[in-house]
Amino acid sequence: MKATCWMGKKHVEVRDVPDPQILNQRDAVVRVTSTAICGSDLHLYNGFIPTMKPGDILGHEFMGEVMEVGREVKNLKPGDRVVVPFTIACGKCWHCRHEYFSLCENSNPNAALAEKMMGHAASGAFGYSHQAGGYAGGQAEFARVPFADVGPLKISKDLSDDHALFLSDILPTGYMGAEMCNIQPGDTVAVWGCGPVGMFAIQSAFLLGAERVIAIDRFGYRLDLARDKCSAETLNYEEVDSVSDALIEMTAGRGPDACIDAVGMEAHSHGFEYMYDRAKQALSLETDRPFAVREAIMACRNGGTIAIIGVYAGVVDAFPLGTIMNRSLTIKSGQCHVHRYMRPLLSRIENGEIDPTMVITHRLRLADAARGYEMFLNKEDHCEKVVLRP
Amino acid sequence: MVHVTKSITVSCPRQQLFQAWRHLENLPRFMEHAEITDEQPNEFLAWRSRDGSDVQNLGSVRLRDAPADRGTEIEVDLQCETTGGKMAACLADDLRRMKQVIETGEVTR
Repeated sequence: MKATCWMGKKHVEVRDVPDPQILNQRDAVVRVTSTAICGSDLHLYNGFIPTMKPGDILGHEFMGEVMEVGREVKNLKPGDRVVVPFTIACGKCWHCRHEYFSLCENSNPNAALAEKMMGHAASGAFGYSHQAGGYAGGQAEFARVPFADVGPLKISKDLSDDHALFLSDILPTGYMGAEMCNIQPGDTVAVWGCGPVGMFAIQSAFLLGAERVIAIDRFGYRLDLARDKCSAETLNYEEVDSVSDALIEMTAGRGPDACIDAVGMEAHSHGFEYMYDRAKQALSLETDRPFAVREAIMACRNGGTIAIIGVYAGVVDAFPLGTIMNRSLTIKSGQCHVHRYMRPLLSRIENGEIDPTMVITHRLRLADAARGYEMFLNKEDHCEKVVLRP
Repeated sequence: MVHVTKSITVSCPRQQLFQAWRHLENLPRFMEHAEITDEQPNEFLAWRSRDGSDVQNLGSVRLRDAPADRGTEIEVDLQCETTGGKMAACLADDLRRMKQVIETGEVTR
């Protein structure tokens, strides 16, 4: 089959690779009908996630048709249309039973490696390095889905791929970011990053009762999307000296009640701080550039909440811990527990509360995946979200 | 002689877990060809390898109820006649694999 392979820094290639097989009796094999490039795939593309190997198949947002199931998969049959959560979860361990699916204790075969890096291992995930299990991803014609009796959600024929696809990751991720903010009546929520996850975080914050949402980015077209499609107020951080000062002014001195970091480890900024963190990251003295989260911490209202849903991989420098402590801030974070949110968000899509297709700007063939990565990275042609069709 | 200990929590009642350990084919690699030398039902099991085993070893496992709904805590104590420092990692892998089989029915891969 054809699959999008990571070959090295800024180098992906669609190559011929062996078709996936059922390896365990709780597996399924899915013929991929739609898949997407995630902002977090760009961290892999840019070489910032450790434990990638040349030839690894990328992609953790995908859906398709069930081709084959193992003996223990009783809830699916060949021909079913499913969307697949990016985190792999066994459904049986303590964390799965408590709906912390991205912390599944059994789905990461390389847990020992992850423990060395992070203290404890998180769940396995599709196409996201060997530390996350080394599973082949879904930017391919076919994908093997472990624990298929737990993860994949059946989708009716009435719903298009474009409407269902983002249940795999970015819609639940954005929603979880807003949910972690514990939004109360009158709350203002600030969202760093108007990529697709940021857009869904903005929309979810309003659904969960936010009075105002302020969207922060530097690309005019992304701020336009946030304003026009999600009714957010916007702040272009390149037009202000200090994002936190600007946010504090916009909220009459209080600061946003909650802040969502939908940017992560490759944040961009301007001025000395950016040069400093960029240099440290280049020298591997710091793995992540934490501007967005630093700004969020400084801006947030006393006693407020910061939700981190942008991806971080390792260690950061100059983290304002004193601010968090002295101002009673709460930090919440996590890879999305996708399984927890798929059904309720599917209902919100079906009843028209959420139109996830608003973020799609480009549709390409799987064969053109390399071009898709390049466009998305460079924000060419106002690129917001690339969907690939095998 | 290398001496290692390792513990893990498995989401499974203690009695059921003890039965799984008692059936030698379910047990981690180091217990292949072992003979039971001591046993307190649902709590404790000790073994030693038979003559001619690949790796001569002596070990025990203790089971305790974990708090609330967390299942059972397993603590393994193992002494092996081997050189090299891989024993701890090997024991950790074996226990993880056993947890996968008991909780999910399969070895994750």
